[in-house]
Amino acid sequence: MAHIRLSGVGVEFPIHNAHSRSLQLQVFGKLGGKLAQHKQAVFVQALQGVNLALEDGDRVGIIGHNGAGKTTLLRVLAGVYEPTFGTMSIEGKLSSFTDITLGMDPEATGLENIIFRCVFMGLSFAEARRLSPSIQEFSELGEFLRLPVRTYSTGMFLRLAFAISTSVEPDIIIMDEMISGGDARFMERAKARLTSLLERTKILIVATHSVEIMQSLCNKVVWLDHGEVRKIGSFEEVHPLYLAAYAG
Amino acid sequence: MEAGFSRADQLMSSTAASLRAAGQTRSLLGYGVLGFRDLIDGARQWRLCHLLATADMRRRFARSKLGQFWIMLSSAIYISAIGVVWSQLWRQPAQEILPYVAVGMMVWQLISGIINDATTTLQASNNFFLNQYTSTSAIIYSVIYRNVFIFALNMIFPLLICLGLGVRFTTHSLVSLPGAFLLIICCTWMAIIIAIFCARFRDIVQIVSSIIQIVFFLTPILWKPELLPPESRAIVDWNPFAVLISIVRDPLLGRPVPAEYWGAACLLAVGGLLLSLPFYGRFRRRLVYWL
Repeated sequence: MAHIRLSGVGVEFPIHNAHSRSLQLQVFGKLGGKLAQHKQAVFVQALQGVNLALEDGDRVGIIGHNGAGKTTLLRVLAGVYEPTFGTMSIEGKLSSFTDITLGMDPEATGLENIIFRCVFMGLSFAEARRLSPSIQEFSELGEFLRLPVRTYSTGMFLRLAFAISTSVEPDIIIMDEMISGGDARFMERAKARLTSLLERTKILIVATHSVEIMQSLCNKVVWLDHGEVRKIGSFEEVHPLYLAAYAG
Repeated sequence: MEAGFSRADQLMSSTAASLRAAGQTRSLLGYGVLGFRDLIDGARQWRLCHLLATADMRRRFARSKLGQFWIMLSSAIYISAIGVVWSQLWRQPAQEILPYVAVGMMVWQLISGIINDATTTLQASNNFFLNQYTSTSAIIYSVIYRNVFIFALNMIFPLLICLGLGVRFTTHSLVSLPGAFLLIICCTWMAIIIAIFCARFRDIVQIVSSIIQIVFFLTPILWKPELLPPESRAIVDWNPFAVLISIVRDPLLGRPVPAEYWGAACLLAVGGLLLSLPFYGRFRRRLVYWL
């Protein structure tokens, strides 16, 4: 059983610009009278009072305009940001597809990178080696896998990253828009592979602007607005309201 | 993963205040436990440490013909040059000064390498922090790992020089190993504190690198403490780096190590670690907001 529970979660970013980041102002700010105001850090309230309870089978699409807090929420769920307020609990093996090339090294060969990327996603070296043949096969990169990855084209690189990242079977998947890569034929296969992975996973959370993805993948839609949850419900319930809110 | 946050955590109006407020929201002990847990957590991610360290080495020597051999070669060139100049300058025979300078220099490079890397490592790994949960200690361990590996390669040439110049290694030389262990513990907690400060206050990166250069001259590496006039002995006796280098270098070369040095080194290692744990526990998860 995987679950995600957030209650009253808020995230506040301190903005350390050149002023507060430099020691100079931290130190000299104490000297003057009025100048001292500068040492107050500016905070951005990126998320506020988010309550969310997800169980097995939940497929969640997160919508909202730019800057509504989608990425921040994904990062909180991925364990990157520790919330400033509230409590959260996450149960289950989690994979975040926000950067599917994380851990890959341009100077190493494709074969080495398969191992690296798998280990970065939390597998052991032995498990990575066991998965490697199927990844090699799916990537269709053949002899190129023996060359350093820096010699690859962007398309080939993404193709490899995609093949590796979709080869593990996590309980919870977090995505910022759909991932893909490669040419038209590969994209077709990539879509099939991703869809089947997303169907098997227990909980899926995807931030997206695409209506099509939300309709086909998600059974729940979370509408974020200025860091707060405006509405949670089915696509049919939430999407018209979302559109209406920004129509005028 | 379960995390709870008390309301008091939120009341910091500025991060300068939060630095002072460390330990108020939880007890000092509570933060210490958090810090300790994270150190263990990082050790569990040893695979990641290994990959990060080796990837860095690969990048540094990518496409060079001699590859990692350059580490050994450049230190060999440096040591030979300084050995020749120094023995002329101090009018001491080379076999007297060369092993001392060579080993001392390599130990110093281990310390300064770790500290210098610590100043930038968190900023440089921000894409790991932002895309998946990464323990800060795992990043620090990879810095330690990489520098210890370089140190091991670096030591080959000085050891050959010592053998060539007739330094006799005995079982007493093995006392260097516990010395090196204490040194690495000290470097670990220093690296943690420096890395966190440098992530928050970017000016400290420059300050640390200046201090490192000064410490190099104040520490008996290129010169022997015996040469100091008695009234200046304090700069050696109260210099933690002199102690740390001495407990690794001196047993190896058969030079006596004062008993107080061992006491001081143990105190530095254990005391420093205990003091840095609450600090680390307090800021380990705030860090990602500063990157």
